[in-house]
Amino acid sequence: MKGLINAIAIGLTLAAGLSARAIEIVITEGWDSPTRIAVVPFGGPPLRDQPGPVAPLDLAGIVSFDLVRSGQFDALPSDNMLSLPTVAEDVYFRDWRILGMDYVVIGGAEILPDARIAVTYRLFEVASEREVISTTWTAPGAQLRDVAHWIADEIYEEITGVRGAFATKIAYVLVRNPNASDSSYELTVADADGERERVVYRSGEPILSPSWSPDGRRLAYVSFETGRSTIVVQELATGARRRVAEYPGINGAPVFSPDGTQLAMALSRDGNSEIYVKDLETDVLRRITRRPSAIDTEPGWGPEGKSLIFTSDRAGQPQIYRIDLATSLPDRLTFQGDYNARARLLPDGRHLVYVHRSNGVYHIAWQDLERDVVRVLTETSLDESPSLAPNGMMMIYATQLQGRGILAVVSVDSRVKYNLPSGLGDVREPAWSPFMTVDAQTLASRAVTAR
Amino acid sequence: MSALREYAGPVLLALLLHGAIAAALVRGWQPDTDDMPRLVQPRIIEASILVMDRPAPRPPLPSARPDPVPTPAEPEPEPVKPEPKPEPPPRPDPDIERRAQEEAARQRRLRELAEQSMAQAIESEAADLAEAAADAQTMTYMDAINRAIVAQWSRPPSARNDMKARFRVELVPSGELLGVMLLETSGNVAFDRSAEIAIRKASPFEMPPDHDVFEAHFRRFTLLFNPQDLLR
Amino acid sequence: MTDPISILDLIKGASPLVQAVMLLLAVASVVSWVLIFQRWFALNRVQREIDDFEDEFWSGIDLNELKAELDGQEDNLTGIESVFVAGFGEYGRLSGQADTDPDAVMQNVQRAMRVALTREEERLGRHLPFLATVGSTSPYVGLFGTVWGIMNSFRSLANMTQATLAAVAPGISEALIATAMGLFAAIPAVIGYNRFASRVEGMMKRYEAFADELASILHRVAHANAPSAA
Repeated sequence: MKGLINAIAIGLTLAAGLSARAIEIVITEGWDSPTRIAVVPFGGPPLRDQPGPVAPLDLAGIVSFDLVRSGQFDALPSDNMLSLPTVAEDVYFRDWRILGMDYVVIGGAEILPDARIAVTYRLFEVASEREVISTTWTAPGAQLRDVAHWIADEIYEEITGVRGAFATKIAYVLVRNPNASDSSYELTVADADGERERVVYRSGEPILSPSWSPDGRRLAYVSFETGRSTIVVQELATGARRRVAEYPGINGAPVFSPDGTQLAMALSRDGNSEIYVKDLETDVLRRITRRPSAIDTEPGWGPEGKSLIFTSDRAGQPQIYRIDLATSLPDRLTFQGDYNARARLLPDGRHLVYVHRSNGVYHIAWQDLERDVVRVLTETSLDESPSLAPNGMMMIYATQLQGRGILAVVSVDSRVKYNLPSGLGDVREPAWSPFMTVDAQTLASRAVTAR
Repeated sequence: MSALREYAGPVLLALLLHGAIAAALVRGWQPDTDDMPRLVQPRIIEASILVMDRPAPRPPLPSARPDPVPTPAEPEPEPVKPEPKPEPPPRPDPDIERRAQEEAARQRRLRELAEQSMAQAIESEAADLAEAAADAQTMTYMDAINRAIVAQWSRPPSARNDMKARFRVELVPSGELLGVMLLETSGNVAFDRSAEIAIRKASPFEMPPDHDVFEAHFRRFTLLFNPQDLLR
Repeated sequence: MTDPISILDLIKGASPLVQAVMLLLAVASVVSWVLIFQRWFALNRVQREIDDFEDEFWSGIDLNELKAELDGQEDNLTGIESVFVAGFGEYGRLSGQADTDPDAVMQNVQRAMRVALTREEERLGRHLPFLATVGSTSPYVGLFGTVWGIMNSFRSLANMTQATLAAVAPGISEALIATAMGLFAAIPAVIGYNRFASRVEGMMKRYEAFADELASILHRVAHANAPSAA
């Protein structure tokens, strides 16, 4: 009897299985919104990255702020958390689901006997209640901020699939007393979040156009220390400076090639401004553009150093051109508006950001070269000097706020815009550093404990 | 009384007319309702698959089959009729009667087979029709699932148009998620994860009240994530 | 769920108000058809009678004889006959009196015939106002039933957690039956009304023409008799 019932059940299941046409639902759209993440304050003793009576460092706060700043994340303030777990056993996913979180980060730090600090964090995905990544970083106390940025980088890359650019630096020029006779110019390097400012060169004469070498160890910039424009390359670690271009006329807009061996620049030694490339090892100078009738300036490198983009007024107004270094054939890239200048290519070589003037107002525009779509990213005016984060997701630029020069950051999807904190004075000419490899930062070690 | 004479005819006629129209309407609608149960019933007979497991009861099937489906079987002799045409040639030959009998037997068998296949065809047709009716319902709920997931799916910036990630989803009748399995990766871990999160956040799904439809389509189905609306 | 709903189920499932509207419309439809048939037969009969009477009238028959023929069946006079009887009877009554002015006689004859014409017009056009009313109002009544039914089905939808088409479709379907019935009642009524109205108008023209002819004949007779009387 039981066997018969079983047989019937199997038969019915079989029949149902046969009659069922497997359906497939195709999802072609999404509702892109910031990923919701909770970075729970890390456990462990209070940590300081500097000696003396300074406030302890909130690692989770730095991580959280980094992620929010990218525009891809929405972080839960710690005040709104229902619990503050520091170990995996205390994570109640139901609570986090109620709070609408997609991910939760917990962590803790301990001070090792050799005074180094070990920071361990775990990233959980709430929906599937799984641990996604777990890592322990060990670093001296002075590098605690770096550790926080590295953690943010790892979380960012894990969730977005794009390499994080939080543990990077920015260089900019700070002008003190801009309109006075004793104005001074300070070339400054800071963390990407604006913290830990450090002046690397100070001068009474203007400093322009800082540019990072691809390894992040050198800066090239234009200095007027000799009374006329000079291109200088400076080692950040040692402060050693080298003048690489002191030609008659203007020496401007230096940019390191992607391999770091060449410097593209604009020189007017032959009458008007033309684009040159100088090999830093052999000191050989090569002229790229030959248009005596037009000003060609503000070079930028294409991917792998095979092409250059530059600004030229050969068509009557400034527009962006690209020249292939092998064939020396230029082609025009921008056609919208009567002023497009100071272009930078994204690492994918397909997207371009540049200063775009519309209705007399200067904005930063973003252009897809393949689909020829132009979007204006910024809402401020007098925007200048766009510089891209190495992962191509964020852009820093200089703008004016209440008559004062400040730095602002915008995500290339223009979802997030914020201003960087800065001290007194005008801030100009920002340059975002390339990725800084962890090894280059010394001393820190990283151990992936689970994945 | 003259009024009676005057109006009796018209009243009769009007009532007849309305009666005819009402009958036509009811009759005209009825066939749909009549057909459906008749066509659905064979689907229940699908338990015959069970019987097929045993080889012995098979022969009775052809004779048993036409009985439950007499009306649909009616039109079928027509397509079969042309077949007897080859019959006449043997008949004029009286010398080989045995052959004629054999031939007749063969014909009968052929017809039986034809009837059987016809009955089967009707059965599968019926199943198709029943499914078509259920399809509308299925589409409604597929659409609901689609919308629920779209509302939850936040693509990572590394997502590109035409990436494809395919998941198998298993549900319980209440629409709660039983399991999600990645069948085909897009090659981008973040993309795959965003899709899985969207599925989990969109659950529980709205499920059809009809248990058969659930069993047929929603107990287990696949989801293909293939964005088309991204900027890059 | 897979069972299609029969029209009877739909009607049964409708709300009482919608059912009342449907009943009203069904009754209106039946009655208007009754009247259409009745008018159809009646007008055909009248048409035949007019033809017959005119044939007879113009066949040269003596009018007094014709009058005498009709006198026997006064209850059963057809339209045109009653016009004739009214006119000729009035003439006969007045002309039989002494010293009557032929013009006064003719005036009375014409008045009598006009009265008969009006009565006949009323008889011919009987029930047509009802058809006109059904034709113009039943679509609105049906629409009212539909709107009410749809209102109800949407209101019940509001109480549901899952709003599927299947949940509202039967309600809308049954509500729409009311409109269908309204149209079903209205269309024949409108057609019938227009058709019959024009036929009645045509017949009235023939009546009037006949009345004029009769009046002119009587006029001639009256004036022919008058001198001798005077």
